[in-house]
Amino acid sequence: MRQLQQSSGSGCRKYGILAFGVLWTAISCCTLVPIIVAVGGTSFAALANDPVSGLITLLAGVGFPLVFGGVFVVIGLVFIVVGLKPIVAGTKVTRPEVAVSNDSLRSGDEFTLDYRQTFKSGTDVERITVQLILREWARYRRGTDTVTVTHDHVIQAFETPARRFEGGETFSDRRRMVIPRGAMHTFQATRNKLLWLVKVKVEIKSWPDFEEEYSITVLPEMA
Amino acid sequence: MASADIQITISGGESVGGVMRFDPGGVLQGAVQVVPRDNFNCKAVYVRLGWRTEGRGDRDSATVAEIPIAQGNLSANTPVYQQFNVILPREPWSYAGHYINIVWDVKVTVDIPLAPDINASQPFVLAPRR
Repeated sequence: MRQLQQSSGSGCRKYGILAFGVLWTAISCCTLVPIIVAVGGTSFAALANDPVSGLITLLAGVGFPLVFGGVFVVIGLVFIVVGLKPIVAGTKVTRPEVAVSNDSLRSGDEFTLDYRQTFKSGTDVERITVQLILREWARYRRGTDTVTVTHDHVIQAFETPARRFEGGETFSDRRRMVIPRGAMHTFQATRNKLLWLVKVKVEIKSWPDFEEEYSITVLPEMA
Repeated sequence: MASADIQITISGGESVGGVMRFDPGGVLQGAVQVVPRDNFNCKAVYVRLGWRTEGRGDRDSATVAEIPIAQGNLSANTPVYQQFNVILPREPWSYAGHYINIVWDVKVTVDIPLAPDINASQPFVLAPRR
């Protein structure tokens, strides 16, 4: 059996979103706070002289930057929450061990997938899904932006129904998978890729889902 | 403006739905005939065999064989004819998907100085028998 490594893209994306969110929020706060302090200070001075016009100055002066800048802070916080989800999910389960019987797969080959994952604490699992996916990955320029799109062809999917796992309990599963005969091999060009993946999703009750992807290579040969 | 009639024929594969299919690593046999409609000077006439992606992503492409078949003055109604054999690579296979297509073709380019090139192509499928 050959141990599969987590797909490099999914790990980078996970921490990338969190890092982006922290950076975005920090920059938004650094811009917003001095404006509010400066405008607020002036408005408080005016408030002491003339309460009515001072209050209007305070609301107008602080209210607008607070609402405008607040939108940026909220966007950053959303990124942080999204980035934290997989980390929070990982507090319930260990990283799974995923292994395949054959590491040089060809079009039409069958292989066995072994899956083992230990639960760190008592967990109600709603569903564990293991999917064999052929992913189309395309990148293009639109103006000054670079856009990446993906489309997943789910070739095979297995589901384990809901059940409870106690702390320390290990979930083991073995599945027979097939690269369909004639299916495309792994293809990696600069802007277009065809990637074979095993995608694992553990749906935990009242908790973020645990999701990971493992890449496999399909050679340009027929079985 | 220079113009020419270009005819590309390929053989050695299996006809599937009007398109020739070739096995990866197989041999593509071809013939090209270029008949200029008037006299013109060209830098070169090339036969190129290669693949390109089509679809949502920006294009990736590669030329796996390039055969120069003529250069210099081409005379009106005087055909330039060339046969060729190319050993095909093992990948990438032809593919038609949601965002990505991989298309193989034989392309003839008449490279004319300071004028648009004259092009013609003949697609084929590179994939194993299923």
